[in-house]
This record gives sequence, structure tokens and C-alpha cells, in this order.
Amino acid sequence: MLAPDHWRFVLKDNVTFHDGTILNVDDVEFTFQRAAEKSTTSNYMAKITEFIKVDDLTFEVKLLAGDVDFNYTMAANSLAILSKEAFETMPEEEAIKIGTGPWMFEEFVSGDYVSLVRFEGSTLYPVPNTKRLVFRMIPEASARMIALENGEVDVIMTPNSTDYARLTESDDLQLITETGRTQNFIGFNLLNPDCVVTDPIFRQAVAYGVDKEEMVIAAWDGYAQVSTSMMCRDMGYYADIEGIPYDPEKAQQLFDQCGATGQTIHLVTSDAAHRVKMAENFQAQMQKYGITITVEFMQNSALTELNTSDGTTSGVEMYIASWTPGKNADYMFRNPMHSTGGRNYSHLMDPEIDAMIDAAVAETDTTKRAEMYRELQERITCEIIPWVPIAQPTLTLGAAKGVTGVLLHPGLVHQFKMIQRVIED
Amino acid sequence: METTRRKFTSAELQQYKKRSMFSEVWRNYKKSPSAMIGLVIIIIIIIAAIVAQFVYDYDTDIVQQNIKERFQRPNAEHLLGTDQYGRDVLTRILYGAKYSLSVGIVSVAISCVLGSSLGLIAGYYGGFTENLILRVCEVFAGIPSVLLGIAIMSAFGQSIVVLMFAIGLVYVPMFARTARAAVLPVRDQEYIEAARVSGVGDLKIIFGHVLPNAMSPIIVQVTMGVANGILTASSLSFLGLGVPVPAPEWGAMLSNGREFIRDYGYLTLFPGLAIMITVLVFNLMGDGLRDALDPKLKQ
Amino acid sequence: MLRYIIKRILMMIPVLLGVSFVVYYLMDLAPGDIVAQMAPQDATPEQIEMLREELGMNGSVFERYFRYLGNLVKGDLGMSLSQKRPVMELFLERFPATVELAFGSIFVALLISIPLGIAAATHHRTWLDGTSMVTAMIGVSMPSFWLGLLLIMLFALKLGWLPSGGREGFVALILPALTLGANQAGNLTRITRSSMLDVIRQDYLRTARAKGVSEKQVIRKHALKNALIPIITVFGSTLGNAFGGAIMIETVFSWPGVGRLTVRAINDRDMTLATGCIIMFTMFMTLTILLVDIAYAFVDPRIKARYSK
Repeated sequence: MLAPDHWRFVLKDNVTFHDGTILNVDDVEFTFQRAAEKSTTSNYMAKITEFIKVDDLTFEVKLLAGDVDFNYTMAANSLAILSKEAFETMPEEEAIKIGTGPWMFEEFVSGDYVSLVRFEGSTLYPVPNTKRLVFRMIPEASARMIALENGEVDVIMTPNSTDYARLTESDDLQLITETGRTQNFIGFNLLNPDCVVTDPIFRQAVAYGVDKEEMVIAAWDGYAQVSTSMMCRDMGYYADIEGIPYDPEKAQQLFDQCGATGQTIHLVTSDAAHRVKMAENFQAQMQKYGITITVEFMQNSALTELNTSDGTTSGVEMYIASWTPGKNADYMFRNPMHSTGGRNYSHLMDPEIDAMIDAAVAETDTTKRAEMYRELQERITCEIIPWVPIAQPTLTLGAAKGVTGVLLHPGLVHQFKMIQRVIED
Repeated sequence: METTRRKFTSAELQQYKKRSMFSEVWRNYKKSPSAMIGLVIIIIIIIAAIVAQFVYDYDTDIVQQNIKERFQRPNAEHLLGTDQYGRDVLTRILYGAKYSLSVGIVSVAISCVLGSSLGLIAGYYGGFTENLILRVCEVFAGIPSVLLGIAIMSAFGQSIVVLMFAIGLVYVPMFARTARAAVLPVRDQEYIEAARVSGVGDLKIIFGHVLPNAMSPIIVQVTMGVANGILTASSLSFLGLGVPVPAPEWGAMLSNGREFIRDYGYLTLFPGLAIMITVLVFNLMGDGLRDALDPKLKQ
Repeated sequence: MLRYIIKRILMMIPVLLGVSFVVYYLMDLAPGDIVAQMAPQDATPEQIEMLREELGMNGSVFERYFRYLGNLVKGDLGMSLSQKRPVMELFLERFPATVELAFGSIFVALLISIPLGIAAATHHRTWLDGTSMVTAMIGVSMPSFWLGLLLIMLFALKLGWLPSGGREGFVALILPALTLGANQAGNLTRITRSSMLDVIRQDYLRTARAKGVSEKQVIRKHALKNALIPIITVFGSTLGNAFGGAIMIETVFSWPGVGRLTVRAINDRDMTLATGCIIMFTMFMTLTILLVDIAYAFVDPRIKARYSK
């Protein structure tokens, strides 16, 4: 970083694409040009005002506004560098399969499997010991587990939590875990004109009233880390704040105070399994305070549409959703909390919070920046309460013994670069 | 004097005819032991479903959870064990009978009323009307029932009412075809023609003279339809579009329990058995009725 | 005969149009915007609009439907919105798996239902009749996904004889076909039984019996052949049921068929893919039923006579 709005990047020397060509700045420029035309990536490219080629391996970009986290944008999956030559010599659908990773595309059978073979000429990464990598689609979790036990597969994603014990106790299998960076929360629509959820006392009461430990057992069989802050734990600038503790008496008192006791509140969420469980448990917990929760399930796309539509008319009172930010702190706040944020489901329109978010992302002094993010977390978690953060679930993988080289990624971009299975005689 | 006598005899005759038809069907029905067993079990299930509504309270027995007592295998206190939220499985199955039965019965009522009317109209009027109705039915029959169910559920939202409507609509073409097929042979019969000539209204003819002839296949289909409705509801639950929680509809219980099928198999076994037995007895009753109503087998 | 076939094929057209409209319209009615879903998490409304036009998803539902229909008439089912590949290609890629499963299951169903149906008919109104019918109907009465999971637990987990899913080799077909077949068997058993009952009472069998032919031979040589004709007539609806049931079975056994593809498409609001799959599906079904009818017409001279006039 030369300045918050002026960055220089140097490419690694001698990085080979699957088609044998060597990565250089022309490939980067080509990728950016293509990205600017695609709706899914054009917003990244909109940040860049100028692209300067310094030499074959060095380039600089100038940005519209200061962004000290711009390197995270460059690392986005959808901005993976493409081979310019491949696009000139092959049809597009073949050329997009050319990358620099240790695995090359082999075959895709829709609904069945995707297979990859190792890239023998890989220079960016060591050549894997495994020859061929096949990803099979097995939708039923219990069938997935049985396929692993029968040796039909070596690794399975997200086994049922009831199978965790079986994986750890077995002589032939293992359980690999990693805390995920997905914040699951119960949110309020702050713009709903005729519901008690706009009363901060009510939101506080819910925050005091939810037994998160119990909900973690109900929804994830205990395999999740209870959240005290609205921010995810493994991110930069996470401050370990105390948040609002579980206190049923205080909750009852606050519910009575704002006149919510005896009322019926409508909650919407998607039909994803853990959300259904969270909703069912939340309903049971609130019943104890005399609050009736009616739950409506819908498909995720419908939920997204409802939550992003105008909060004053959407009719949403409460909702359950989740947010998986990138590792940079700004990502945690901007989309769900800034008044211009694309995923501001709670419709938090607070100029003060907006100003704090904008100031923090342009701050280069890390101590000051940390203090700003701590304050943001405190304000949002304990005072404004657009959400009650519940937990970050554990990511899990079941594997045969001897399997190594799988990295579960908290942001759900799991890595299989060096996957292999050592079989002892 | 003469008129009174004629009135008397026709009323008497009709009543006698009805009674004798009913008793003959009943006599035939009784001959099949499996059909009788089916009928008895259906009555037991219906009584249990009604009693459960008075014994249990929705808020405390269905919504309330008790995480500390989760996954208790069947024991003296919880005869069928507890689920992952510590709720009593027996309570849920008994209370849930209401949902499963009403999904089956209401949806079949919808498809029966709609389908049979369309079928009767098509069969009675013939020509363009018949063609139009048949084509529309073919459209709905052309879409595989589960897929049509999913599409309707996602279009109108997930609730028990929509579920009943969705399943009901799925089976409309079946009833329409049955009813039409039953009308065709009587459409041109003399007595229908006579009624028409003497100025009796179309509706009256359809419901007074044509419908009774279509009755037996429709009755059989209704019985089978209840079974189908319960099964379709469970399929939709499996695909994530059934009766929303916490309502203990059996299909939803079965589908939610499959996560625990290896360690706590009873969580799927009991709702599964409940569905299987209910569907089976409705099918047995349907078969019994089919045999009893089929004149060919009366000999 | 030819005129009859052409008439039947022409009659397919309005039905297919109706099917396409019903599916397209229902999916449009459903809340949830596939375009917003496909856009990145931090996309602006302008970007979403841009993507909408890229995908041809702009305009009212009728505009979009008629645009879709225009391509459909040219035989173009369009591109899948979520997978960005031609719908026809996706469908054809996965259709053979479903056909394999459906026919496999019908084969299993016949294996179960013919012996049971005969046993029930020849021992009419005895305990064997009841037991056979109840056995046949247990398969129909169990939710198929449950039966499938139980079979996986038994044959893949406990015994380790068969794979739990996938579509590698013939052995992988056994469990899914068995599950789906058990589901079909009830209806076929019922039909076998009643047609068997009809045939047994026919005069020529009485003659055969009177001639001293043994009961077993009467059944095997004479009755069976005639009793099986009604099964051919329900072949179309049986196939339809098999396709419908395949949707759940494909999920349980991770079988890469069109049922799962279509359910995914409906859930993802991928209108082009869902509508395309259902249209193709309906067309295939209608053609099969037509073929069965034609075949039947050749077998049964009465029908042939009616249409050759």
C-alpha cells in the first residue's frame, strides 16, 4: 500500500497456468477488464480509477476512495486471475477452466460428481501426491456418513452432529473441526411502524431473555461457540466484549415494562435446518415469558427479498439470519449495519453508526482503528441491538484416518490443495 | 287419494332401495377380514386423535421444550421416548394425528368436490366443455404430483392450509376422470333423456340422477385419496416443504427425525409406523369397498 | 391408425403449452428473486438490474413467458439461470439415470406383484389372499424416503453388500430400484389379482379344468397370459408414478437423475430449468402412454378395428 487509495502489487515469478503459459500483468489486466463487464464483479472494479502496468510482474491501482482493506478485495474468489492467452486460443467455456492451482478440471457430471486431476507442471504450489480428486454430491447426511464408513469416499462435509462421536471414537475415521466465521442471529426490523420490536427495551429484554447455551444445544448439538459480540471471533479487530448476559428475571421485568407480555410476535426465517431449530427453540423460550412467537418459514431467496425490501412495509417483525463476513473488519459492519449496506436486514438507519463505520475503514493507525471497532461493537451489541447474536457454529468434516491436507476455511472457502491419504500397510 | 298413495310408495321405495343397497354393500364388506380390521383401526385412530385434543395443551405440551431431557429412549415415563428437544414423542404422535388426518381428509375433500364436479359436467355436457375440462386436467396431471405440490407450496407459502390446497389440487384430475368415466355409460340412458325432456334442470339431473351412478368409484377413490394425501404430505416434508414446526404432523416428525436414525431410531420408527399403519388401513378399507361395491364380484 | 397417432400427437401441444404456463406462472408467483440471489452479497440495485437484463429476466411475467415461449417453439428451452448451461443439455445429461431407475423399479414391482397377485386370486378370500394383499400394500404405505433409509442401513451399513448411493455400476441400482419398486407393487398386485379373478371364472378355464388339466397348469398356461394384459394398460400410469416417486429416491440415494435436478431448480427459482424439465418430462410421459396405447391396439383386435374404420 502506497497510500489508502494507491496500491502496488508484485506478482510471483514463474507461475504456470494449466495451459503452460506464465502468469504476468497482462493476464491481470485482462481479468480486470472482463470482471468490469460482469455484473457479479463490476462493483469491485468500480473501486479502481486507474490501472498502471509498471513491468511484466508489477502493477499499481488507484482507488476512488481510501480503503485500507483493499488487498482483501483483490483476494476475492470471483477475481481469480485468468489466462489471457487461453481466452484468445480456446472457446470461453474451456478457457475459464484454466487457472494456476494444483488441481486441473477433468469432468463434471451434473448432480453426480466433479473430478479434478493434479497439475503436474504446477509451480505456484507443490504438485499434490494425490492423482485425482473427486467431489461427489450426496445430499442425505446419513447416507454420506455410511458412504464414508463403507470406504466409498475418504472425506465428507458436514456430517450429522450425532455422528461426531462415531467419527472420533472410530479407529478408522477422524473428525476435523474449525470454528466458522458465520454469525447466526435473531434480528428485529427497526422500521416496522406498528410493532413492539422498535422499542429498544423490548430488544434488550430479548437479549437478556435468550438462553444461548440452550439454543446452541438445540440447533447444533452444542457444536457452536456462543457469541457475546455481534462481531465474529476470528476477525481482525474483534474485541472480547461482555455483551448482554442471560438473565431471565431481568428479561421478564423488561418485557413487562414495555408491555410486550402477552403479545404475539411474528418471526420469519428460511427453511435451512439449523434456522428451523433455532426458531423452534426461540419460540419455546419466549413462551416462558408470555410472548407468543409465530414462525413463518420460506426459502432463502424469498427471505432475502423480504428482508431487503422496504422495512416500513415489508411486515417483518423479527427474523433469523446469518452473516459470513470476509476477514476484514469493515465487511462485518458495512453490509449489515450501514444505512447503505446491501444486507441491512434490520434497516438500521443511524447516521452516527454510518459515520463510525466510514471513519474506521479509512483509519491507518491500528490502535485507533481497534478502539473504533470496539466502540462500534459495544454500541451495536448492547445499546442499539438490531440483532441478538447467538453463535458461530463449528465447521466439521469427517475423514478416513490418514487423510491430511484439508483445511476448513472459516469463511467457507475450504482448501484441498494438498489433500492426501496415507494408507499404512 | 291416488296422489298420496303414489307419493307414499315412491318415498318408501327409495328408502328401501337405499337401505338395501347399503346393507348389501355392508354384507359384502364384512366378508373381507382385512377390510374389517382396517375399518376398526381407522375408528380407533380417529377417536384417539379427538381425545388427544382434550388431553393435551398446544402451548405447554407441543411448543414447550425441555432440553435437559432430550433423547430419552422409550421408558416408563415417556413410553415412546423424547425427541431432540426433550418433548414426549407419544404426546406428539397422538396430538399430531389431527394434522395428518386433516391433511388427508381436507385435501381429498377439495379434490373430490372439485374433481367430481368437473368430471360430471364434462361427462354430462360432452362436446367443447368436455374437451376443455379434459385438457385442463391433462395439464395438471402432466406435472408429476410432487413437483406440482412443491411449486404450489413455494408460490403460496408454507402453511397447513396451503398444503391441503396443494395436495387437493394435485388429485383433482384423478377424480375428474373417474367421475367422467362413470357418467359416460348413463349419459344417453332413457331415464336421463326423460328427465331432460320433462324440463328438469341440468343441475338437478346431474346431482339427482347422474351422480348416484358415479358414487361407488368416487367413494373408493376418496378412501385411497386420504392415504395418498398423508403420504404426499410426508414427501413434501422430506423435501422441506411440509407442515411447519412445531406442529407435530407425522410426516414432519419422520422427516426431522431422520438425522438421528442411527442412534435414536425410535424418533423415526414411531411416526413412520403411525403413517404406515394409517395409510395401510385406509388402503385396506378402499380395497374392501371396491370389492363390496363392484357388482361383478357379488356373485 | 396413422390419423389416430397424429391426432394424439397434435393434442399434446395444448397440454404442453398449458404445462409450461402453469409452471412458469407458479414459479413467478413464488416470493424470492433468483437474480438478487445470484448477485454478490454487496451488489447495488443497479448491478442487480444489470444482471436481470443479462439473464433476460426483465419485464412482466407475461412478457418473459412469451419470450420464453418464442424460443420454445424453435425447440430452444433456453439457458438455466442458476447453472448457466442449456436446459436441454442438462436434462439429457441426467434423464437416462431417471429412466434407468424408473424401469428398474417397474421390473422389481412386477417381480413382487405378479406372484403375490396370483397367490391372492387363486386363494380368494382366504388368509393367504389377505396376507398377500397386506404385504403388497406395506410398500405403498411406507413413505418411500423412510424405506430407502432403512434399506441403506440394512444393506449398506449392517451387511455391507451394496453401495449406499451414487450410480457406479449395476449394483448401485439395486437399492433405489427396490425402494421405488416396493412403492409401485401395491397397485400392480391389486390389478393382477382382480384380472386374475376375472379370468379364472371364464368358461374356457372351466373347460380346461373339466378336461382334467391340473389347477397349476391352468393358471400357468392359460390364466396368466390373459390376466397380464391389464397390466400393460396401466404401464403408462405406473411409469408416471415411478417418475414421481423417483424425486425422493434420487435424493436419498444421491442418484443423479432429473427429479433432483427439477426440485433444485424449483427451490432456486430457476424458472427456465424447472419449466424446461417439466415440459420434457410431460412430453416423454405422453409419448410413452401413446406408444403403450398403440401397442395395446395391435394386441387387442377390438381397438384396432375401431380405429381402422
